[in-house]
Amino acid sequence: MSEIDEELRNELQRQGVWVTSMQELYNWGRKNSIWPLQFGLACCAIEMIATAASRYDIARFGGEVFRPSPRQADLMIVAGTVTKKMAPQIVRLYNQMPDPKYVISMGACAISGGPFKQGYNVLKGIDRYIPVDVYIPGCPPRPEALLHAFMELQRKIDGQKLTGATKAEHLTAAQPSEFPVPAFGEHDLEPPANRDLFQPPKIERT
Amino acid sequence: MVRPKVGGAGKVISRAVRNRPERLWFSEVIGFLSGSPFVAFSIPPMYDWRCILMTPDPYIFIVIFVGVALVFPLIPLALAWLWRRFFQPPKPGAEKNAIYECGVESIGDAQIQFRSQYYLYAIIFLIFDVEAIFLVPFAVAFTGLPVGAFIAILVFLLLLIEGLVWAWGKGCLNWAR
Repeated sequence: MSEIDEELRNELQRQGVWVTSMQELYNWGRKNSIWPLQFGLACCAIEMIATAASRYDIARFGGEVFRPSPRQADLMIVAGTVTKKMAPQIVRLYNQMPDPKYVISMGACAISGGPFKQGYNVLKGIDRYIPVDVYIPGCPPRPEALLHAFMELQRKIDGQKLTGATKAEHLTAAQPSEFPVPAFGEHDLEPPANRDLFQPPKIERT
Repeated sequence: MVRPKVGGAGKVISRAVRNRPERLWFSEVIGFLSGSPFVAFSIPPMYDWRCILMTPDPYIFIVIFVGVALVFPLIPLALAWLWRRFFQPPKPGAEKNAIYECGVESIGDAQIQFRSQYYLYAIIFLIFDVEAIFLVPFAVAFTGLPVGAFIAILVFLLLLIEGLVWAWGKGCLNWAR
């Protein structure tokens, strides 16, 4: 698992010998076969569909296999407005995905509630309940933006360590794989946010 | 029959290595790694393999297929087990292991009973679907049938006709208004 010297690797490659480590092989396989969960919430889903279709073609990055079951999915693309009615189902779907799992928060609504932030029924960002890896701004983001987020996610996966103190979260036994599902309260979701994950930003006025 | 020479492929590899002195060391290593099992194992079993192919026992292929069918799924399962053992700790949970997987909690039991009123649908289905399936081969083979088979199918038909009379009397065949 030890890192190989870069110069030695280049020298070996020039002679026709390719060497790799278990970690690189693992991450190379993972990052080139990210299977997203097939669901869409609002207009961002149309852009997600366009990304999967032939013009933008997410298959070039190995992400075309949209799975209808969370059991087979690696990536959750939260594409669109998350209503408070829908939030428990999304958290439950996230919980049902096997590790390692990643989340892309696509569009202004999924990040923060977007233009509907003042609405009584809109969740102000899915990161209140599940950990998000990549945020894409935009309303809705273009397919290129989703592809960019996908490449960022690939970069993140490529950098994840198998061993050591900085190893990936899904390999750490203490890191939870499921997060509490919010319940419908009298006025809002209970709890309104998962405090272990989400700290509301502090506003300082001067 | 001429027995193939053992070590023929090895000689070819080493001759190719001698012609490229600048890559001698790496090619030696690769040649040793890839070529030597080839020389050591492949050629004498190839010879035996042809003997097996010539023997007229077709069941040997079924045995081979069963062996491959067992080994092929066992290798990934074993690798996954090793991976779990050394790298990835399992994290089971109540929701992750839930049977229903669409994001909605399941309510009640999956083992439900149908209402007994549906027996009329079952009768109609038997009369117009299952009976037709049995009647077609009966009609095709009608002239060559022995008396016992004729009586058997007649009993079957009479049972279904009884069901038809029952369903008719119940008003199942009327158009709903």
